[in-house]
Amino acid sequence: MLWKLIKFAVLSRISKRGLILLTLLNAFILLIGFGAYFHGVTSLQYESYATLYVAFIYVLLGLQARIGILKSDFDYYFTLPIDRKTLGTALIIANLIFMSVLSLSFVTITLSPYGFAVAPFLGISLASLTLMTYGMSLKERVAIFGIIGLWLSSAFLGFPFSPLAADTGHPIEGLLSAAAFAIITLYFGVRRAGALDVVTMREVSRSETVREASDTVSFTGTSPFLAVLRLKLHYVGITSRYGFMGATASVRARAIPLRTAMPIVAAIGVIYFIVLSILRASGTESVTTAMIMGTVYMFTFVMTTAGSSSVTMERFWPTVVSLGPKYLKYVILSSVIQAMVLISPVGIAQLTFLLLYETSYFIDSALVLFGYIPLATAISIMIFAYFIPVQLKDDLNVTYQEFRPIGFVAGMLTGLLFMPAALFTLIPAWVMVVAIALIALILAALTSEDVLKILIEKMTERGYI
Amino acid sequence: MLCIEAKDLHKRYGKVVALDGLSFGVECGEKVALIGPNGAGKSTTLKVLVGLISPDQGYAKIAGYDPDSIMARKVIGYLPEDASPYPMLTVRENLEYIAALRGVEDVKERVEEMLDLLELREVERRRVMALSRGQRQKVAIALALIHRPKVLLLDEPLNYLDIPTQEKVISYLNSLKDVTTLVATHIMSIAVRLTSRVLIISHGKLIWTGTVQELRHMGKEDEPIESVVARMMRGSG
Repeated sequence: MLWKLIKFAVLSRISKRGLILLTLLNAFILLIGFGAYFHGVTSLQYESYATLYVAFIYVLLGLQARIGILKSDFDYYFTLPIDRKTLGTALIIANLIFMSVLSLSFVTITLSPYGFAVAPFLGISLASLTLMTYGMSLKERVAIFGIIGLWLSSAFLGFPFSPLAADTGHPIEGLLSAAAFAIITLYFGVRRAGALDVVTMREVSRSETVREASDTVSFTGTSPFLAVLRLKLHYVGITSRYGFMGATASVRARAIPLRTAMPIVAAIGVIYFIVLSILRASGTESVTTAMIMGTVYMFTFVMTTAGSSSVTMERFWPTVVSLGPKYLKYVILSSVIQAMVLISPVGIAQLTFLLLYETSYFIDSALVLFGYIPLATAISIMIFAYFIPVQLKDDLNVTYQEFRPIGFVAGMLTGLLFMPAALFTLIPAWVMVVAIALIALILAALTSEDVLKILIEKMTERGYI
Repeated sequence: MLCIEAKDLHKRYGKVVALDGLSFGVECGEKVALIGPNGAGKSTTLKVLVGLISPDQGYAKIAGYDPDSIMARKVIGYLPEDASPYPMLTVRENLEYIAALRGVEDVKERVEEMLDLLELREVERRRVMALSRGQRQKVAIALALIHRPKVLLLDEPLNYLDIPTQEKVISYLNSLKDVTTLVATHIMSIAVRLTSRVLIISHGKLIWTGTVQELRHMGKEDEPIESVVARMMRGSG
């Protein structure tokens, strides 16, 4: 029965071709990992920082990659006359399969024999934690993953009982810690998975106490573009497409007022500046690593807020039907502005730091922040809209839910599109200028009326209205 | 003069033929029902008429204009099946937002009017995601009407509505004398209440058109109109 359930849970979320692609991707990652290792490459990153990278990515994925719960799960899966623990176990295994690519990516970062041994444990714990934290508030999840991130990073400082300590000279303690961590989280994850329907039902908005909105926005007396911009600068749709990194999406409606989000991102900016200032004492290498992480944070943030979410909540039937394709242009532009406002505290922190202490990177960083990232964000919105045009109808009830290889490839391509931004310390300024000019030209072509019409038609054909 | 015109429309979704040479016309001010079984091509026809998708062959005109022209967009009011307004916005925000996009001059007055007409006053400050399906349908109808459209394209407009609201909407739509209305539905009683002429389509083709009275006369004595339509649809298959 468990096998049948796993098969059902997997195939209800991913097409057979998608599953084949996932398997091939895993094999490819392993091949690169083993190949590089046996050719004497010890780490793709600065060796001593590999553990920090793993900790950082673990936390980032933990916050972003959540299990996809479908509306049909409520209608069919959770109503099956089967023990809830069995249902939960099947879901957690399915989740693990979807997150296998992510788990294996840890291998390519550490590229050590211990890295190969620890990666499955990290994968299991990550998959389990996404279930354990399902239904928790963002604050709670940030707190939990923050503590775990610190524990993982402690290996960098020589603490032996960290899952990543195997890579820093404590193989036995490290492996035991990783195994224990995986077992404990797996136990609680399975328990939680069996009650996902109850947790989700408690969460979905319709079952919440009906209350009047206190913070509303008025659109009277505005032009169409200003109305769209006002909307985007009032509400931020945050990761309404959960779990897209985990190969299947569970779409939930969540929008918070920008004025609530700004103090949080401002605090992140201040912390970032302090961290950079502290790391300055340890040398350029530490600062560069931190700045790469900061930039990865920024583009991951814009990808998840603007790139993958901005059209999820859109409605064409009252908007495109009134304004035509230019409505989509307004949405793209406004989403980019919104994303830039949200990352501005971290961006300003980075630029201020560079201006004060590392002026050689200032221009590169400014080009990335004000040129590359906004343009790449606009293109990513279009890529997501064309290849994965998910539209949320109600909570969990979306169009075009199924994971398909083309969508996954498009997601990977979007990630690659942002890569030059992360590598700004390695790319000369003139190359960045050329890259910006190039993607500006691509964007101009993509936002022509004819291309936008194709995009609208494609989305409509896939059930987007 | 025709306010809605479809000429030899063809549309395929991969191997599936949605429209197969569909042609019809609706006179200005006329109220017509587009009837057909599930998958007959009703929703696709409406999407072509509002310019969300373009036909592979043939053309459509709204008040003499291409559906995706600014002139056509100004006069169209569209309600798709299972329409969902913006879930994160309140009822009032939805109405104001679409009114602003539509360039409605008296936004405030028009919003108030719609809130009263569809009895949404009580929930105007609630987010749409917290509304029942019926209340959402009321908001969707208000969004389709907010700019006083001259051509209304409605796909199953009475879905989810309670009986008093159904009656109110029927009465309001029937009071819009100058508005050309095309109602896609598979419920015959709705067609009878809202329109005077019927277009029956099946497999993406027009198989019959005529008045509701003509349709009644085609049946045997006391035969329900639904039974007549069902016979025609079976015959077309």
